[in-house]
Amino acid sequence: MLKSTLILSLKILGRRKFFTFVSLFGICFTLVALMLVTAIIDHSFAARGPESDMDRMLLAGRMVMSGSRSTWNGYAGWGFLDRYARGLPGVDDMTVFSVADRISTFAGANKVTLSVRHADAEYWRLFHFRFLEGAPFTAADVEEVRRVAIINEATRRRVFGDAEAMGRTLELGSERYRVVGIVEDVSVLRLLTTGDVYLPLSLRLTPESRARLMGSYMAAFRLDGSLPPGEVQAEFASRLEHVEFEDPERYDSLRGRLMTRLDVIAEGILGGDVDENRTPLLGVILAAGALLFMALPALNLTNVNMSRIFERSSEIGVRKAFGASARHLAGQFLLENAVLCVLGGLLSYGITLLVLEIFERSGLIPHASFSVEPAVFLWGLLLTLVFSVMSGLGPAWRMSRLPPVVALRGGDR
Amino acid sequence: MSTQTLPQGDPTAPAADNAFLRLSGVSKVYRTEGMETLALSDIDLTVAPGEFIAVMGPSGSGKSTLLHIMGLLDDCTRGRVELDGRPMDRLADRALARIRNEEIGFVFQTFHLVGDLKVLDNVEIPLLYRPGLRGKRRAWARQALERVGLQARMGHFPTQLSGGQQQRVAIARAIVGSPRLLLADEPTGNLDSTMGDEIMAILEGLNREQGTTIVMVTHDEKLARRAGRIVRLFDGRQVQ
Repeated sequence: MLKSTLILSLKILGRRKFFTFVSLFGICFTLVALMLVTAIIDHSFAARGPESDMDRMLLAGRMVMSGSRSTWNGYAGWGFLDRYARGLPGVDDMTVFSVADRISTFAGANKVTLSVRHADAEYWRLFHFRFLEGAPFTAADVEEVRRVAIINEATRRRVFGDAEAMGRTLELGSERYRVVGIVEDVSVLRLLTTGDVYLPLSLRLTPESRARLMGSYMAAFRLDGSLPPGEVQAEFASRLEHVEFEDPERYDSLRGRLMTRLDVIAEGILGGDVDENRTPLLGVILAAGALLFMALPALNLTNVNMSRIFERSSEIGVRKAFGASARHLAGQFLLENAVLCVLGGLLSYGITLLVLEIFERSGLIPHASFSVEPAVFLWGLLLTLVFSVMSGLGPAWRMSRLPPVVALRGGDR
Repeated sequence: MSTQTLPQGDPTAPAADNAFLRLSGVSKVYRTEGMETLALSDIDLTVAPGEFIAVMGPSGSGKSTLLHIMGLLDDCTRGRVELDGRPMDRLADRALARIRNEEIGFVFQTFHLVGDLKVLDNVEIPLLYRPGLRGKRRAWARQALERVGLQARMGHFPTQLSGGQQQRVAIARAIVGSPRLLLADEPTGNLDSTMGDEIMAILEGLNREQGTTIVMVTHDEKLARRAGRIVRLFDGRQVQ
């Protein structure tokens, strides 16, 4: 019975090409968009690559220092992070690194602008870069302010071409560095780890900047699991209250918070004050957006289903006259919807892979490497299936309950 | 399947205890926006197994309504319908569907073939709802098409056939499940006289050779006289 109904559904979908096209288009559009968005989110924020430990990390970055006359919005300074953020309970490791600077150099006659990040030695412990050659710079390199550099694969290609890069000199501005390691490229959407060149943090620190509360540094804290993140965040907040200011007349308050990965995403998307948690709002917006996004094609499908099912009123009458029960008919229409959905799902999977491939090759997002998570595809397909079945349920049930003679007349009672 | 057949042209109604289908005091009222239309009024009719009945009457006299009630396609407002002594009122949708599937076949004036399906698939429809026929459906549908002389057209779509051929497909669909009762609503109404004769010959053959009980609505006096008995309706009332 199921096999016959399935074959029948395929035959009818094959014959009703316009309806099939419209429905498949709606399903494909929804699923492709859903998978593209999640692939980009996954690529940018998921715990993978160098940031594979992000799920058990907290981050400090944006800070606001204010007083009665002035407000300084920016990133944390080395002085604050070094004096107040170290030794937090529940944290087993910590790294401090700069936001990336843009510095130009020359590769032969060509000017090349590179993204340069300064970091401490712990950076390589907390973030798991894949080294193609060489090794991370060490605590001794940082301590002794050695002019060593780690570059990414793209920089090696751009600056050194096909020649050997390890041990060679990289000129940045007026400074020269020895290349000690080459890492795999990291997407520019990975704000904590993306970069073309990584230099020891000490190269950037002057005696004056070592004392500053504000600067251009971020810190990542890896939790050891002994305390809930909330308690670590609370301890950080309490330390902010005891910060000593160099010039209390000018600045007397420092605000900021330890953020989870999700908080960083919410802040990045929604902005807002540094100590304002935007994550719940982001959750509501994303849920509402997803619902609306899925509801639109569902409404479209409902409409298409309504007209399709009413158009087939006479067929329903005939089937009822020859022994189909209301359940048979409702089942048949729902199966037709499900078949459409599965076909649309498979088609969307292929289209998504194609679009991502084109996107990657376009170089629109440097060093991007997207992938479609099977789980996202399956969830999307399941959601579409649910919406699709729901959209067909009403009209199918209504028509299947009509007395056969009314259905034969076109359902016009 | 019953093999009892009444002689053709017998004007006598069957005895009450030999009833295959019995309608007692059946009335049908259509209610639309406060208006009531009496389509059938107090019909008493008994159909014996193997009988061939023609139902005649002017347009709007209730012929099709009567046929729909006999075939359990519509319910009556008052009265009682019995099939093989079993009352049909108060039966649930699934039970009615099963009786329509196993015991009744329909032929409609406008054929009502499913345009999206090929001829063979159309004929197979009643068998889809009958359990336990795995692997037999196609063979049965082919046999039914052979019986109406359309075995060469089973791969066509209905729109590729003439009116007469479409009606023969409709007959094949009606008889594929070997129903005991065949209800035909003006089966020749949309056909020319030659095609009408062909259809009539098929119906007569089914009645004579298979013992199928047939109730046929027609406007055509000549065709009606070929049935075993004529029931005449006027303004929803049985006048003969």
